[in-house]
Amino acid sequence: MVPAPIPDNENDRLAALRELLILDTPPEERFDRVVRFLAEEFDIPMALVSLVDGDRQWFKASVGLAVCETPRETSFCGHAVAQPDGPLVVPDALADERFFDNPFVVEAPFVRFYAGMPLVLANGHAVGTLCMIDDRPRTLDATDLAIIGSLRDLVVEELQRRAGEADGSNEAAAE
Amino acid sequence: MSARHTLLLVQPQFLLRRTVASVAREMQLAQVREASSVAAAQDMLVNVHVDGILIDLDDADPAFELVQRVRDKQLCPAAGLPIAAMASACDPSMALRLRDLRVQRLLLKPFKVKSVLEVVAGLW
Repeated sequence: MVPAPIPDNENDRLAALRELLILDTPPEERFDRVVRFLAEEFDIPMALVSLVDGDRQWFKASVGLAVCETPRETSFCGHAVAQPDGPLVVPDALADERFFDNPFVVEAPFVRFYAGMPLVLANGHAVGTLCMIDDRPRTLDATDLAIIGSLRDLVVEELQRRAGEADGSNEAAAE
Repeated sequence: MSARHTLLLVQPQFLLRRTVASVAREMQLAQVREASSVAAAQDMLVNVHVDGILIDLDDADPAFELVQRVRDKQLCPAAGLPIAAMASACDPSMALRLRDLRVQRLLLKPFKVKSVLEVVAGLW
């Protein structure tokens, strides 16, 4: 297993994530509906809005996963935020030297397929992913990637809109 | 398929509308004008040139009326532009109505975004 790498800009990336004031907040329909839509579109058992924190990934929205966070070191999303220029697609985790012996591959939920689109904010920092996971190998074509990319863009918009709403609330409270 | 064509997408469901429009643009299937309601679509047809329409029929009466008005040249000059539709169900009377209005494709829900995009690609 190759542990999720730490990007060179990790301190700035974490600061950008913390500024969103979103970690450990309750579920919100604007994110829940995206993962539901993604899961239904692709008939896939797991879909997540994952935010990659210092030593964990925390799920703001999820379909098909009972836990709300997992360690960063063993996360697929940790790899995705380290290469924010494009999606991370793992057609078959058992055939990928980075993941074949990953505990989430060899044990429940027996991940075989992963596709994660980095959530890149306007400031350029990748704070997490919109991702989907299956327990069987899969491939994606250009249309599939475009669909996931479009939904990812929506999630990024909502993250930034939400951060703006929080800023407005803080300013009003200060007054 | 060509990004030279402009599609009017009439669909109240935000996620579906937004995803279809975004991907259609990205894959150069069409330029897409979005309308979240039949009323918004009617306003758009009067002011914007479109080459095709994809319309949700779940708000049936206004949606069918819009299609009829297009065919009667009441909303835009191109009475024969290609029209496809989306619906939750279709009985024989509705099928006849769609045929009479020259609706060339009907997608029945539930459908995938990919299926919608295939319909868009095949409109022209």
